[in-house]
Amino acid sequence: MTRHRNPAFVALVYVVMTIVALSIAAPVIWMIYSSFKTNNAVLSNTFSLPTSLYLGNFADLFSSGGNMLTWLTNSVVITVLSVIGLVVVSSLAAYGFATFDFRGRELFFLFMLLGLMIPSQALIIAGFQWISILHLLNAYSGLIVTYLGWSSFGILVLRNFFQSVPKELTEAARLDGANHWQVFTRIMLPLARPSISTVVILNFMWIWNDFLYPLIYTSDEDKYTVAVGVLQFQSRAGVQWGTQLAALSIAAAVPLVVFLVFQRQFIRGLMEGAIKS
Amino acid sequence: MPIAQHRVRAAVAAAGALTLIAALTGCGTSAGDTSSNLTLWSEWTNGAGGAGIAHTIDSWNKANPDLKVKHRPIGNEQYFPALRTGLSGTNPPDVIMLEPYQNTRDFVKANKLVDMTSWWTAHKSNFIQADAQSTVRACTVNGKVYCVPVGFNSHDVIYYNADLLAKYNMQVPTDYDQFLAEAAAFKSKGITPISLGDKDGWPGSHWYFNFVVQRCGASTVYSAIEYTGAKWNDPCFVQAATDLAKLAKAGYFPPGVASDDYDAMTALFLSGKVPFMQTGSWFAGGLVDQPASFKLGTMAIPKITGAAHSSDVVGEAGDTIAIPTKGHNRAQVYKFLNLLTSQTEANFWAKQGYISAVKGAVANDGPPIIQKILADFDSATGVLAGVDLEVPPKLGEDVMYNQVSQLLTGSVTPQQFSDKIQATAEAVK
Amino acid sequence: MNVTGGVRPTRDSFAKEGTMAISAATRRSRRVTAQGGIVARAAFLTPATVFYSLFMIVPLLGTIFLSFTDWTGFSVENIHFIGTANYRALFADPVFHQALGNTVVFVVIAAVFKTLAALVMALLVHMRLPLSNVFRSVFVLPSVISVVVIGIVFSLILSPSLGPLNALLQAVGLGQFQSAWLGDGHIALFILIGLDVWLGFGVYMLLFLSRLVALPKDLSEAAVVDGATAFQELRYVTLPQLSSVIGIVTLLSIIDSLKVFATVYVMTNGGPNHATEVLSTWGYFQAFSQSQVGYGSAVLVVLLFFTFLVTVAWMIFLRPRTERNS
Repeated sequence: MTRHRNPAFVALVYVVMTIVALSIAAPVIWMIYSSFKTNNAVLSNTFSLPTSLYLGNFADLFSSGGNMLTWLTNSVVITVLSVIGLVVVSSLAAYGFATFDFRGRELFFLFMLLGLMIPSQALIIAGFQWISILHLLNAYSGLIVTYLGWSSFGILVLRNFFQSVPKELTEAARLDGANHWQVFTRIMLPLARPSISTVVILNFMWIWNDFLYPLIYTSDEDKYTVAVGVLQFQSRAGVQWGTQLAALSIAAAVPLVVFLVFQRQFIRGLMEGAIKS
Repeated sequence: MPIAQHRVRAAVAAAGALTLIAALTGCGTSAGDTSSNLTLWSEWTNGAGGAGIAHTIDSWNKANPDLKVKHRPIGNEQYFPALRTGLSGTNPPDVIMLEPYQNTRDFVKANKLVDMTSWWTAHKSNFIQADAQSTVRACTVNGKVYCVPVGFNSHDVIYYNADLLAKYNMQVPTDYDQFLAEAAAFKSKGITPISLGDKDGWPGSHWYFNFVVQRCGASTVYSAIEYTGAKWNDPCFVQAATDLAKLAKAGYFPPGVASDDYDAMTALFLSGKVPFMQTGSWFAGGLVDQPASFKLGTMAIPKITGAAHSSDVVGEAGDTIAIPTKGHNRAQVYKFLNLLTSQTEANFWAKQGYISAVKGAVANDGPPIIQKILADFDSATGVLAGVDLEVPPKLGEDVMYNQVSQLLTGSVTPQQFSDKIQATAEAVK
Repeated sequence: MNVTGGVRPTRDSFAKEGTMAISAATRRSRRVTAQGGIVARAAFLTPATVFYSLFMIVPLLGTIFLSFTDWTGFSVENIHFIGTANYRALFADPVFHQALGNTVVFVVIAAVFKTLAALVMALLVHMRLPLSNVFRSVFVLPSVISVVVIGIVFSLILSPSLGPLNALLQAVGLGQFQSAWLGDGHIALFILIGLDVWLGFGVYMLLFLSRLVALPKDLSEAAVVDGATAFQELRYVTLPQLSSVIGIVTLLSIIDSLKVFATVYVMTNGGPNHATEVLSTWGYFQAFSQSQVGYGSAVLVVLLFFTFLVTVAWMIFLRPRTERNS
């Protein structure tokens, strides 16, 4: 039985949401339509709509002189592997923290949260020397293992979720003889879909857009990720605006797709994730 | 989703991830990697430099298919952190482009650069301004040469919108008084006369350096830099600061001068709304590829009547080539340098709008706008390198830049500005 | 009306989850312990701990070590230990104090408003009105887009020279509100905070939503049947169930505000003249541009220390109160 809603209130809600949405979407819309303009057109008529659809910027990016495809491949491999790894290790650890009671648990949890507290760029100079010693520079693995160290967020969020699952559920299963792995995979994970989706979406965005680590850890242009590559269009001679915005639009499209795919989990959650009595 | 499938999926994902990671481990660089390529790092991402280096690399690769050049271009904002970190590691590139002066000294002090004195002595007659103080200071440390200039920057440039000037019946200013008069005229018509975006601190500082070199002269400024007598708050320096403050106070800069960055500044000028803009010769390099939508001209910084050294200019070796000590393929690097500074290549670079340091290149093939800039630059009596390149970062990029932005908003007086710079210079000595 | 949550599932609902298969497949001792064996604990906690320790903690220790040196970042052979000199220099550094003050302001204002905005928008989106999905996607968009774009676009919009904002104000008769915006040292920080809240709430909204959709429906249904108004439902049913997430979001938004970097770096780079300098930008500037790796590291270690204190305070005071439902 759904609640009857006051139409005036609903209208107000729409107004608020629309204003916020437009102000947020406007820059993105600008970025997209500006990538169909020539560089000069972007400069002279910054905010007006393009008079015709100029495809040269995109052609430049993917032509023989452009490296966009390589960069996209690098970004996809690194980000996908890192995110899968992060979900795996974070959910495992979150379950461990939520389920087991042991001495020093809270202290250990606090230790695992240190990673949230420091801005990532603070670690990069020391990190470079360390990854260099390990001979993992200029390779996918150097970046992936670094990102796998960013599990603090996932652990925090998922532990919080697992703790909210009523203990009776898991205890009943354990009474029936289920071991922890089975409780984890058959009860906890399915219930946690919306939280896991959040962890996937956010980690994907953060890793995809990170430019500092790929910049410092790679020494070849063909190992660049998209986030580093899009910085190529600036030089002292000036910014190639049209090409830059085209590159940024493509860079933004991928995590957006990931988001759209995973956010369906939220709708799923509405339909089956709730515990019914 | 059926339970069994769910469990399998999780297991497969975990296994797959771990396997892939294991497989990719060990794909890092090993010592052998770089010897099959000649690795070059530079800021030449696009524009004249980008086109030039692409051509040179192409020529090299055709002649040396066994040792191709692997070029890593890095945007100029990120170049220094990436370069410094890269050189601090165990696998630096074989050859680098370097912005010289203080950088050269810092890298040499850390034993990161190879002594190139013999190469320079043998080849320097091919270069313009080879013995000028500004050029020598770029690459010489303790009497030895550690880099080779390949491109010059002249700061002695004001770009103007010829169409806009014509529209308002104004001539190209021949001296500073006329420049001020025209600025006032534009302002009275509701047009911002000068485009400037000082968010990053250096565009405004370049105005200051241009005033300082006319008021004090290149050798006095060097005396201040070297702590050999002149002080940053001597009267000529205060006068230069006053010159800049006057422009700001008259409202000749755009309303966004404090928050607009270099890109916004050039965008404003290229949009055709503002008649004048001061920035270096590198900007002209970008115009060859992408001309402005209006008729664009260049002029030297107008001479200030009564300035003691009005023929002195600001200019420097902008791009140099240097060799990391731990790089490989040393002999080939020198061969590559020979190619890069050959007349053929230099002419090509000049054609793209690059002020090549190689003699004759700009004269041969440089577009008119570049030839004019170089002619203005070459006739100077004294040349001062950009001061921010010459002084330690604490003085230049930190205090000078910030003080200039304060001067532009009127938050400090010219005297306070100069005093603060002198105080910092003494502190970092 | 049971408002404390904690639904008691029946055997039937348990079966609905398909776990009868488990019961049939494995029969073990009936003694159930909340403590798993050492092996189980290790298996769950080890993978994350290994990667985290190797690739987050080791560089962190390296950074802390560097904060006690005068390293310039050029040559590993030139690292010299100088004790606490960097930390003592911090106390005398006026820019450090300014950055510290700015960071505190940032935290207090941004964290509060971001959490509030996220909660409000999550509740609005959760009303599941038509097009809610579209709105939800749009709100998260700024996190998807690289901060470079956000910086470019908003700097352009706010630019008094190039952007439409001042012109717009003039056109609608609000000309007296024209300003230098990010170029005005007095208000730049607040504009950045506003932008940070506006563009950053989406992430936290997602966190709230992920919990809202998982809440058991029976309680709100009972509330409706009992005749509670929307506001009462919100106050007595929804919010208590969200309290632990509110706790998490509060912690995360405080931590994020303490270490805010990208928003400031891209839009003002700490300027004009340090008016928007925060601890992370100052540390970064010192370490990367000024070649003062030791000093920059010290600034960032101080930032870490403050964040650590805040987190401990949260764990001691706030978390127990917000997790009474767990």
